[in-house]
Amino acid sequence: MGLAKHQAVLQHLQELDGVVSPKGTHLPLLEPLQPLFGGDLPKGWVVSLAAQAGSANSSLALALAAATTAQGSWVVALGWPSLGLVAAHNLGVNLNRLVIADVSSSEETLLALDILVGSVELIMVNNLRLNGREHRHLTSRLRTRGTTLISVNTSWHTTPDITLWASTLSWEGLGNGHGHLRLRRVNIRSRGRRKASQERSVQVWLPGPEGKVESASSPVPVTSLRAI
Amino acid sequence: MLATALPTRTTVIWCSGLDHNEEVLETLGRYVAEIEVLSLGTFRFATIGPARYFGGEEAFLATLFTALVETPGVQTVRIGTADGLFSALVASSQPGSGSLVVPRGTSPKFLASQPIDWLASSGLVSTLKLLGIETLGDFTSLSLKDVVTRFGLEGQQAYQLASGQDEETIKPTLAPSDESVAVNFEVPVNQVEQVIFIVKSLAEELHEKLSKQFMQCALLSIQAETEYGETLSRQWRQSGLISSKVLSSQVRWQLEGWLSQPANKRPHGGITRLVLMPLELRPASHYQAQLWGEELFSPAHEAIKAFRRLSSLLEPASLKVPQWRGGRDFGRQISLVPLEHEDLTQPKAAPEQKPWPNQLPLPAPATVYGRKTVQAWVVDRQGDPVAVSGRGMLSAPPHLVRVEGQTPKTGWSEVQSWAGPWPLSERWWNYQNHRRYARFQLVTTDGVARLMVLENGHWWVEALYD
Repeated sequence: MGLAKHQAVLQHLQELDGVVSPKGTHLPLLEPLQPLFGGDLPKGWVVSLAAQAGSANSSLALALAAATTAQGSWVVALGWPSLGLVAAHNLGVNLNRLVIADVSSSEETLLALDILVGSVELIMVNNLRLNGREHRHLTSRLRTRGTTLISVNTSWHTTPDITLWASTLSWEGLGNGHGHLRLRRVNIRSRGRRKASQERSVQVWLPGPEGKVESASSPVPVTSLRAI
Repeated sequence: MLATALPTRTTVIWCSGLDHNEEVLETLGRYVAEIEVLSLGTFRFATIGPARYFGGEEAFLATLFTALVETPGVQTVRIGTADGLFSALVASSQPGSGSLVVPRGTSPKFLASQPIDWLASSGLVSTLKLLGIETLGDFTSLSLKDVVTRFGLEGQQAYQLASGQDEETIKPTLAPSDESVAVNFEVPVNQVEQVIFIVKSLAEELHEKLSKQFMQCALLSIQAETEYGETLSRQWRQSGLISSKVLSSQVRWQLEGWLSQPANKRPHGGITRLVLMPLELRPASHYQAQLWGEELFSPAHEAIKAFRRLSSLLEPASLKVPQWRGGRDFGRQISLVPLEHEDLTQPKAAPEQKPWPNQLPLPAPATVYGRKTVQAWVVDRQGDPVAVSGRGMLSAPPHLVRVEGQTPKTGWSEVQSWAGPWPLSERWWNYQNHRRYARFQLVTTDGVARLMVLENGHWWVEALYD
């Protein structure tokens, strides 16, 4: 049957695709953020940006995605209608490689993830509301298909591969009735599982004078304090 | 809009069971001068010359079929001849004898009865099926205009294939000869493993060389010389977006093909020189959507296919892409346009960074709410709402802020630093849409920085610097 044959052709080519498509293990990261991961951003990971007052989470999520879009890969912001696009541009995101996906229900969220995981290399997700089973299914699919997920405003039923805490230390430029916001000094801590179990931290300007993320100090590795 | 020239008479051959292409190519080489390799086990060539020699296409295919079936390593053979690559591919995959000739000029009719699934774009196909469209003929009975409106470039290309008008809408140009890259091996190569990295870097070199001229290879000749002066060469057709990895796999397969032949057939000596010579080029910016097959090679296109599929399943305009517009509001400097209207394969114009009047100073906020969507309350030390007079005078410095969703009892945060008001009068020429408002930046002691708007006595959070 023609159809079956066609499927066979496609399957054949897909197998070849598995052999020849770029299958690196990491996505690129802007240099100031590399200390948090001890290098580039591993594919297939769940990166959770912890919710806290005065966090720099949206800027951090964009800065984490910037280098991936700059190399020509598509990034999807899922459930993120209020994403600041000018900020995205200034932080280094290639807007020609960004798609904003609005979803109105958890069914749509699941549908979108189902189609996107494995097809795009990096997904940024805001306010992901899934149950435990769905979270487990998602994380295992991300791992096997090599898609990395950055989440904000999301509490995970599974343990994310790495969690980042981005706290605002100070804003520069704004006074008492004068000036305007110019620079923000942010402390970012990271701690994860397995290879990332050592806590790391870095101080950055987010944004710096050019609107980009810039290193504000040399990274200070923090010795992991774990209960024995 | 569509090319009207009749596509070339094309034969597609599909052989299963192969580890490499060499033996089949050798068999084909006895009948056909120029063969293009599409992938491992699939080949195509222009049919006219050889068919004339054998007394017609049917007779030619029968001869070819017998020869291929007897070729070592080949398990099954299917052959199709038709006008253009897509029709020939479909013809090669029909039930029955294993070979099929679609007479010249009848490809559209032949395709019309074929199932819509031949178009490998799953999103497009599933949407069409929902509309009750089962065959390529059903599809082409729609108007092209409607198809383009609904499915964009992808729809247009699918329509073009389904109506028997094939491929290369932009003809590849002949490559100037100096585009080739070459490498000499000091030790003659007898096994591919010896040179796998050299092959890879050679492919990258070629890819980079062409990319710099915004070109990509459409037809590649892989050539080798052995220590005894034998010369070998094969042509590989390149379709879709070609990465350097695709190129290097093709070269590797080809080398493997030459070197893994039985002793009486393989070259007498080891390979001492390898040349990659592009024979045809096409602009890299022109995205050649091959709706079957090799488009799968490109991750970027894989993503675009997923977007098309998803957008066909969600509400219209659920997926959006940014478009730069200018303007003073952070929410409006870049607008979002529905993804389904955009050709994602074409790079868009870079944003112009011209200063707009009254544009807020950088940095830009990373969260931008819609106008008047998040209400807020700002009071002074006396607990009175902070207001701005008609002359732009502030009633008192802001002291506490509360945002919608936080309780009036406990939800107040203290203002640490602030600036404003920056009065704005927008569209003063338009009485109806005229808007006067004042902007503030406020940072509260919990570290939250907000861009706030006071309009008609009401406070709103316009954006967050988060």
